[in-house]
Amino acid sequence: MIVEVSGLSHQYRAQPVLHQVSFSVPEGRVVGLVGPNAAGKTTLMRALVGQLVPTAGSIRILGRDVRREPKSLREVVGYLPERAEVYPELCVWEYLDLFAAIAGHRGPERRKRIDAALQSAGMTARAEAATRELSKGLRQRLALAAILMHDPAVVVLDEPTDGLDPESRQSLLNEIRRLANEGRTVFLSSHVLAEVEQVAQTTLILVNGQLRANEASETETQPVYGLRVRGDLGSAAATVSAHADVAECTTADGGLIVTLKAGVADAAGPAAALVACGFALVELSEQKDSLRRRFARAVGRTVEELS
Amino acid sequence: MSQSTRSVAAIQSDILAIFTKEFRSMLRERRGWMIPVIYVLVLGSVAGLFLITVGEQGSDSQLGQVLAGVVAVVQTLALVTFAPLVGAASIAGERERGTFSVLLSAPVDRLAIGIGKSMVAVLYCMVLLTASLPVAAMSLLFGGPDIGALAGLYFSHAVLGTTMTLIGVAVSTLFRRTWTAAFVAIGTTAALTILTLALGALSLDSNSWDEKGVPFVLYFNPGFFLPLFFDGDGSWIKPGAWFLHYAAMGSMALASLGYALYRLSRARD
Repeated sequence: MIVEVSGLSHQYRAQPVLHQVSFSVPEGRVVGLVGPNAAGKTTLMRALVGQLVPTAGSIRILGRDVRREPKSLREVVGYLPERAEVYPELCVWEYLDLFAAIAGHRGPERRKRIDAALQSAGMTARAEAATRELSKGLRQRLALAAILMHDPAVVVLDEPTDGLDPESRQSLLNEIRRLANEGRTVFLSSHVLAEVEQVAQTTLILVNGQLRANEASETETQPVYGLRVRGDLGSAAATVSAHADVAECTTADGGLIVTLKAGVADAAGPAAALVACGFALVELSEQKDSLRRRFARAVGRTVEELS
Repeated sequence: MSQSTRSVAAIQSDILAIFTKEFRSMLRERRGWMIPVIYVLVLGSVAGLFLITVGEQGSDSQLGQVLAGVVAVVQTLALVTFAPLVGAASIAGERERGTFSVLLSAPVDRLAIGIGKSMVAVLYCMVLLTASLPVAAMSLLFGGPDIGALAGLYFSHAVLGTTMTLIGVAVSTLFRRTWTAAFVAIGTTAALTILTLALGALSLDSNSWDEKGVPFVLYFNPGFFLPLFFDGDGSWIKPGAWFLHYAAMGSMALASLGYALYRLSRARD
């Protein structure tokens, strides 16, 4: 495991922000981090990069203790904070040159690195442009290219797509996917569940500082079925909800969305209960347990309420 | 190459990277040219006013003395005001703009951030000093103080400027808003000037300077060198006083730099 977090807790002025967060991540994965506002996402990310000393618990990245070896950690981690800005008075190549120099690249190697970064950010033609003249999307891509100058094995991105137009957003997500394909582990926090679902192989759901879902729970995903019946939808929902196999039943688009309890193989039981109560079953289909649904469950709300 | 040699080379390289970035920024930021322009305008105006006033009554030699005196006083005030302002923007400005978190999480030595930024702030202060050189040189033409005295004045100003800038850098590590840092930094240097002067004046009541020398606290006053410049021979100051003054300024500069580096070594964002 490249990242190991164990029993991580943090408090701000006696207010708990993170509570007993534990997870581990192998290399080459995109890990999505989602949660409502003030769930502790940024705190967790800052703890991961050593910009915050947690009250309790430990974080090890590539075997290095974040608290004890902050300097050595910075050599293997790249961090793009929320609302990060680039130096407005520098031009694009000068900004990259600063980070290439910091990364220890010299002479022709540095020039090569800068050219490669310009190319990957799609900014070769704008190398001489002042960074203040760039769009927000391009500034984000430039900042991302800069934090990769020292080839970090772990990249932590705190809401990098915030405020970007759809095209810039998609371009950044493609870049994140490319980073994972190169073998880097990428942490991505976002409020947009769809984009996390698009790129993340693992999703951590944080609610009130506690981890409500992680990769382990993903493997024990509760099966979800869509049922369409003829008759009163409210009564049908009440019948299904009362069944022993059912964890949750909601109505959506004129049908029922039934989440079964973990370990239940299929929706045969609730379907039979419906038929026994006189409802005509029109359709029964297995549905992917979407991140949206898992997130709704984690925060104790229905998918409709989230909409 | 040993581990420590590599480490020193890495720090030097980081200092150069930060220095280059800061220097580029300083040359392109609005304040980069605004402060020297305002300074030269103020200095020129004050010198012009004095020249007109004295020119009507006095001789050429008096004109030269007045001109040099104006440079000495205005430049001292400018250094006590502008130098901490320049230092105060170095770290707080980065925090305010949201660029500091990225820099702190990069594999750059914290020592290099502090030293690189301080070097450029001090260099900028020296640029400010050179801006007044044409006016000061004019005093020589009018038969003002000799070139040695003028060189001494500029050396004292260089020491003062370095100290005031580094006080600004130290204050800058405490704040997230540039203007807050600037106000506190200028307040600190103003308090240093006024308090040391007041304490020195209090000592004057109870002691005779001729017997006991300059009150110790006055060595820390930013304007300590001005009386010598105006008094000519400075006979009231015992030998070695200049060394003590520069030592006092140097110790404040080193303490400020040390504090700034300490704060940066512990900085999280």
